[in-house]
Amino acid sequence: MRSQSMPPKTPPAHGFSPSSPVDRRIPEISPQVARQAVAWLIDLQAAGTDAALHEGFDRWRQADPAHERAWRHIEAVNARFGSLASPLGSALAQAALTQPASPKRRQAIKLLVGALFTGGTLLAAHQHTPWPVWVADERSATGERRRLQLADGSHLLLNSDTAVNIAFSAKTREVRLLRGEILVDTGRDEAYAPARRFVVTTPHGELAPIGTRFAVRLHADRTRLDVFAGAVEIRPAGDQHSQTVAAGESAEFAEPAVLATGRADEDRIAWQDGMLVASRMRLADFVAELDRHRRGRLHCDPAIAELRISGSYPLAEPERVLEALRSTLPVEIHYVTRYWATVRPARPG
Amino acid sequence: MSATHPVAELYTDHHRWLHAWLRKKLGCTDQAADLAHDTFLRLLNRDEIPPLSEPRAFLTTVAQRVLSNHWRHERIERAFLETLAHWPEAIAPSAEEKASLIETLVEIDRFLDGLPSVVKRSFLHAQLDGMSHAEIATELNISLSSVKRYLTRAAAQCYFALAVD
Repeated sequence: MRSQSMPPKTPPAHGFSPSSPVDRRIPEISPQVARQAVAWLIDLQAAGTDAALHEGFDRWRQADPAHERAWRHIEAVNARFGSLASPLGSALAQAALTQPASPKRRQAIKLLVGALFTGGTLLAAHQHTPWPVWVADERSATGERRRLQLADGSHLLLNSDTAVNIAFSAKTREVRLLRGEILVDTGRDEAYAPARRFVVTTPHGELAPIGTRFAVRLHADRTRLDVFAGAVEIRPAGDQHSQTVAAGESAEFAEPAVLATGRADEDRIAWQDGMLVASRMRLADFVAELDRHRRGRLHCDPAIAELRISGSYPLAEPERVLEALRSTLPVEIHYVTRYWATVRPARPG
Repeated sequence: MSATHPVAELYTDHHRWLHAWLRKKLGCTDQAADLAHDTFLRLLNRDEIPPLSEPRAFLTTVAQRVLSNHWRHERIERAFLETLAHWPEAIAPSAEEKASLIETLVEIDRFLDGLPSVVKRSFLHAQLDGMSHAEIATELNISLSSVKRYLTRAAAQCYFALAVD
């Protein structure tokens, strides 16, 4: 079925012609099976967390030992590329393998390297993405945390993979959270008397702080607020009323109402110190959190979603955190590519 | 096994000639000696040598491969050092890491040999940067369906030496 998209072709002859490629065909893998394996690889890369596709893939893999062999062969070749799976390795590969040397290219390399190293020591390959993607005023790459000082003296700390638009006018100071999570320390806005209104907006509503320190996290279906000093007035979209959340409190809201309130959780902002702190956290939530800080994609098999985990983990080293998971819980890490991994139940034996 | 190994025979009869042939290509007698050596090593590693009516044509064919491998290595090493020169020293790889990175680059280069640049780029972004198809499409300014086609083509060749349209 999967091979239909790719009509069978005669593989290149190999033998003694100097132009023939190095033979990587393994005798016991037919071209048909090889094409299917490739089609699965590409579909899986495209699909991300699509559970049905993963199930289909598992069925294909188990259907025939030849399928399993073909897949293992792909994994083995990928493992050989391991040493290049870093921003440096990737830049080297792109430079060495894809273009002839020329002065223009040298210039391009300079620019590329310059781009990789602006904005901190934590680098991310996505920082050299062309401009049109970066429509947001300010953003942080995956694995990066950025501190911004605004014109009014406020400080914004952007967590990994976060985007904000900043619009200051004569009357208001607006920070629009487009993606991710921010920690805000509002400034006094001394150039204005009285100080202009400060407001954080998300698709789910508005947050108006009153001399304060607070964290806002944008989820797909809701916004979460934790207040650590002062107070924040929230008004969910489509709601006439606002509600005050005081220091030490938290709230979650979406259109058209506040969904829940509770205590502010300092552990939730341990990321400002580069840590992920868990206290009997669901494994699925833990993995989702780690995924935000790690390049590539990471999922958690639903079968182990409810396992609990506690401890402090360094966000700068997600691979080591995964290693630690493997040694403390009955799980294994399955890598589809270097950057794309699934945490799943350990297989017996 | 026969009394004289076929490679030994080739060596005795044609080694000097091969060395001269390589020297002409490379312009350096030491490099030519190294590559002549590599050529015979490559023959020794083969399971069998076909019966030869034209031993020198055969040797030239094998030596061509050794030569192109040598040039590939040189080209990649040059690009590597050029890129590295612009990289902050703090994270520069050690000499051993450099050697192993170059080896890996040479290997991938061979795996992806002959593919258009944009196909290689797509593949490297997917495998080494973990980029999604959409991110690759944006990065290279190509359509999503092209990304899929390119990745399929690169993977078929890289993993299984298969040609795919």
